[in-house]
Amino acid sequence: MKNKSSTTRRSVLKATVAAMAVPWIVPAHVLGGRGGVAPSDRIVLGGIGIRNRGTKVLNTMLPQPDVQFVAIADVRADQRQAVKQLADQQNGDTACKMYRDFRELLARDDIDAVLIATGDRWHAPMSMYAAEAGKDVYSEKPCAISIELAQRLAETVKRTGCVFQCGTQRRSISNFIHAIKLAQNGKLGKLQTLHASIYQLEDRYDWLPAEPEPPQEVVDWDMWLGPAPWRPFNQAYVDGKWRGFHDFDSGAKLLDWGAHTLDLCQQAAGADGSTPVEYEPLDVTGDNVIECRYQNGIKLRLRKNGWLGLGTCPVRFEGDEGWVETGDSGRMMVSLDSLRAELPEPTIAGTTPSTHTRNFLDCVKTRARTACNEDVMRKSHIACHAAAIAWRLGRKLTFDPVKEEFVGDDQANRMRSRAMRAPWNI
Amino acid sequence: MTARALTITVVVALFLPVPCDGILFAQQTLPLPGRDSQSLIQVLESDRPKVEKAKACQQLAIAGDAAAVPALVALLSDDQLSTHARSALENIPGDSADQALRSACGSLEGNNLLGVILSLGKRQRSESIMTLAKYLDSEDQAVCIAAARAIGQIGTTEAVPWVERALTGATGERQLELGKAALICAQRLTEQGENKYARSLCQTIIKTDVPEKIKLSAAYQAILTQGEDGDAELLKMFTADDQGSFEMALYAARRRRGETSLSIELASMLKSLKPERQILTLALLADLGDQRVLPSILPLVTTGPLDLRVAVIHSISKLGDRTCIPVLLQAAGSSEQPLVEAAVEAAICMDVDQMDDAAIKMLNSDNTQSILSAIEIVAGRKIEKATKQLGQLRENSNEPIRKRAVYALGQVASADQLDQLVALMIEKNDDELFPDVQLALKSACLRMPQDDCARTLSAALETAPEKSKISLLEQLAFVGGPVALQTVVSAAISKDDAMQDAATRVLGEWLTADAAPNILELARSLPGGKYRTRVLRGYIRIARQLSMTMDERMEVCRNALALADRNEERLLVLDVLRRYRCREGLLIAESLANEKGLTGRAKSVIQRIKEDVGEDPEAGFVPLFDGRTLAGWKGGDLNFWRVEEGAIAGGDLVNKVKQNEFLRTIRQYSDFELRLQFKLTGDKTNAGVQFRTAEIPGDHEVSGYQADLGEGWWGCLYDESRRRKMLAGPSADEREKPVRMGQWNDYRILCEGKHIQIWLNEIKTVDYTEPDPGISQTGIIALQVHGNLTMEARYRNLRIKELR
Repeated sequence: MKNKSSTTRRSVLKATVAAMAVPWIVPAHVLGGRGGVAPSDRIVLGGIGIRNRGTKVLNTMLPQPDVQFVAIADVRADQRQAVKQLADQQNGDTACKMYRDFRELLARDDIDAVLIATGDRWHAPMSMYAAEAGKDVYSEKPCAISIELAQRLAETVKRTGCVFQCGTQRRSISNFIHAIKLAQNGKLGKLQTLHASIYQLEDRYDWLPAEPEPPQEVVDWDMWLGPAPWRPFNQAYVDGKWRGFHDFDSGAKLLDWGAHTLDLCQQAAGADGSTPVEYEPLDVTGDNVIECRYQNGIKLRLRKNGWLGLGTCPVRFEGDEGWVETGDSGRMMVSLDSLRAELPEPTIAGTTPSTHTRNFLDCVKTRARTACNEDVMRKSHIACHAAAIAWRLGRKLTFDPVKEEFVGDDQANRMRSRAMRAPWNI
Repeated sequence: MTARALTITVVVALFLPVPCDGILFAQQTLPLPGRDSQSLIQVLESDRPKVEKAKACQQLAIAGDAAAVPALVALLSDDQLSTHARSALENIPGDSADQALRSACGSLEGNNLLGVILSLGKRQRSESIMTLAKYLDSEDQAVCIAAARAIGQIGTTEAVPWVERALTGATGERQLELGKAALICAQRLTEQGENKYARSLCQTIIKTDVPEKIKLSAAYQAILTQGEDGDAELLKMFTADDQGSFEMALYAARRRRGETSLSIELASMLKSLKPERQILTLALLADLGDQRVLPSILPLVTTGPLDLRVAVIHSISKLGDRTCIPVLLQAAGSSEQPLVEAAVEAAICMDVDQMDDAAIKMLNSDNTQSILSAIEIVAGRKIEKATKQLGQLRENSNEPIRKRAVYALGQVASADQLDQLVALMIEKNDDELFPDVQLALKSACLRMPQDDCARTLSAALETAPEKSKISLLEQLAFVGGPVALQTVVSAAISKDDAMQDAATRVLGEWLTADAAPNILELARSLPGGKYRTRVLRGYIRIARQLSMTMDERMEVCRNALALADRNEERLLVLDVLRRYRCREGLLIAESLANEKGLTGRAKSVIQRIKEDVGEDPEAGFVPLFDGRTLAGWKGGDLNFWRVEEGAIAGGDLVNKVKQNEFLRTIRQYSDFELRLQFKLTGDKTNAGVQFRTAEIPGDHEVSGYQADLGEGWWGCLYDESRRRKMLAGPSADEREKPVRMGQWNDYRILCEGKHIQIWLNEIKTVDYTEPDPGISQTGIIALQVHGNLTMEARYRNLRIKELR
């Protein structure tokens, strides 16, 4: 059994306290389980599609004294088994249930919240199924593979009243938070250009050669495809090599980093409720530079190269008086000594979701809004997709952030949505 | 146009207008501009592989029109392609797609039918409601639910009766799912401003037997439709018996809009709630940010269970003003640890100036906990004024106080106090406090002006004892900048092994690329051995990881290879070349291809670079003209020719050219490719490039082939002073087309045996095979300006590759 005294939990939470501006912490035993059916003082959690990244996220949730992980759903038998083993080890029992079909997991009334870490194609539909089933949702990013799904996911969260956290953890990590503060409170002067890192864009439409389908109990290929259009089985997809394929990926891979980095720029620009209005793919060989512009003139530059050595997923905010750049190493570079004077010390690596998952768990209890809630996700994902569409079309696009549609470009508007394969209907 | 769009255009230009063209297989990004739908429709109607049809659908989704609808509809019964077809149909503008989808319903079943119902919902035409309504009574539950969701998605007022009827007539799981569909409808109605309809539909949902969670969602939706008027219902939910209602109220209160007195009313009912609900409501009040609730919540800090008091402190951190300072500081000095932590955190966060003085005063307390908390607060708030007292506290008899005071010194020290911290570290070199001082110094350095900080640290380096010395070096690397770099580089060549060790180590982690020249210099000056190897690896790392131009990276690679004596470092260079692929990198990688132990890796890198940059189209060419002098050339009349702006020029626009002039190469050439650029100006122009040509002794003319230029003869092959006729060339009305008049143009002459080809601006103008075996296939090259014209001819970028 886990030690559930609030003192222990608080010491676990110390990292949160250090990293977050003003954390809200509810003592573990204060709130009864949601709906009154859960063991009295814990969040009962299930996981869907948990492999590499999912395990990293799960590993920050499992040791939390107010979390009880009870079920895993995965289309792969080996992964179901691996996650069960992890959970059972933590819980000291053999109670973690395994499901091939995630709908059986969602049908369980005792489960309060789910962690969704499948491939991109499933994130939005599964999140919506979970929300409609009354669960709170932590979904890995990118949360939606199209503009339309980002909209519908946000609407579903609003409609059902669930708590939603998009797995863009850098918003909960101190160096990124500090950089954003510098941009927001004028320490860089008037903001000029925000820079978000992305990597090589790729948009594939070919199919890998057909291979014999394994038995459903080993790999459920139909379930793996899920809402994506049919194509023949190939083990490589299931082993994670689906990135870059249009049917499975988000915005020609732009969202893989962009969902983080562009999102941070949105916050720095004070544009959480909006998006840039212009997207222009620039002719820079191999660098995939896409230059975007907000209504107020602030520029947002997506680019692959030319970063200081501060780790993966770097961002850079430039004002007319100074700049700051930071990345996953936690280290920050600033242009002015006056900015140095307030630099915080690095806390955790940018890839570590511990403070972000804790923020989610706290919000599950308080019903407060998460750091990367459905509205934040919606706008930054839509901005990413708009940039990717501009890159795919090879032309400058104008976008209306309120109507969430391109202005005067029918083709671009038609790239906002894809059909969902039946019977998936959400 | 962007580079990528350009590539696509080129590709499109190459493919043939047959329906089975290979473009549909490719990994080509969609959409393809200028693609006509007719050929795509033919793909759909053909027996081509499914992957091609899928790709045709994807292209039609972006660019197809009504004409494509019949071919797409035909795929709706194909289990594997129907989703692809629907993606296109969902996006094709106009009514034809809706009509086709509606009429397709009758002939479809199973998932294919479900899919079409889904698409009709997505297109949101109220004309589709009647078609969909027929399925509400379907035996097949999935079909019924899909139809209800689609109608809900359409969400007009006409949709409401259908949704309500289906919902109230159903039971069990079907009713649950129909309840979700009704919620979709309510949300759509709200979006369209039909609040009355939306609210009424929510009420209907609440009255059915759907599970509680659906009813709660409906209650929440109903509140959202009402603005301020919803507050009464919201407050009722706060006091409802069931936990679900209370939680939904917490959720809804944070998402409702408009100014209200909700906070005040919640605060006034706070006392009547159970402690668990009080805590959660306090969290809500903090989020809502209305300071008027403070008088109601402050008294709770002294009564009630510990968790409640902690919650009060937390809400003070967001809502509090200066009147809360005594309460917070008292809690910070209490004996209850959770309360202390919350109060310290709140005291740090609160944006109230008076807190600074209060915290400094608290440093003088005689209560250990109060002192410890005050230290955390002055550290967290970075109160510089506290330095003096912290300096005293670091000598305190209580160990935790000593350690935390040192930590806090690092947090508050200003630039002019840095030397004191350095002195403290040296003083504590052998003390148990050393690690604490080290950390404090690190925190302080992070905030200091870069070069001043580096100078202070460097100054201390000479006299510091060894442990401190190494720590200072690490600090310098952390600080960065030119002063720090200079100091660390000097340390790396010092006689002291520990210094050398630390300095070379930190250089390998240097953060900015401007260190490259110094590190290279160091690598060159160090004798062979582990430190030189380490520095060299650090040098290569800069090219691999840090921000540089491509030229700078390649320079690092070349320099590193010149110094490297082991394959380990050469492999690192290859890795740089693999990451940053360019033509120069290709040459560097090729220079390693025959090195023992590197061949395999080098070849794979070469292959990878070639995939990106292709073969060098200029490989093997040597210049015929150096851009400055006429070295390698001779007259005719050498004085006729001049070199201007990197080009060879002959003639001007004032004086008539008296006679044909030829500038001749000294050397002879047989089989070759010659590339050059020309620019002709003048009202009437005539010039050309002689090749495989002979001089005529004592005459200004030459004899042989001429790649002709000028009015009427662009791109033709003429036989000058020999057969005196046009040997080959485009038809008369085609000749001028490739030329950019008055500008620089590319000219390319390829001679292989009897085969002669000429390109003007990459358009082939001549493909000639010499039939006469008596004609010489070797000779000089010469640039011509024709006589009797007022014109100027310029030639530049002349380069030749000899074949054989």
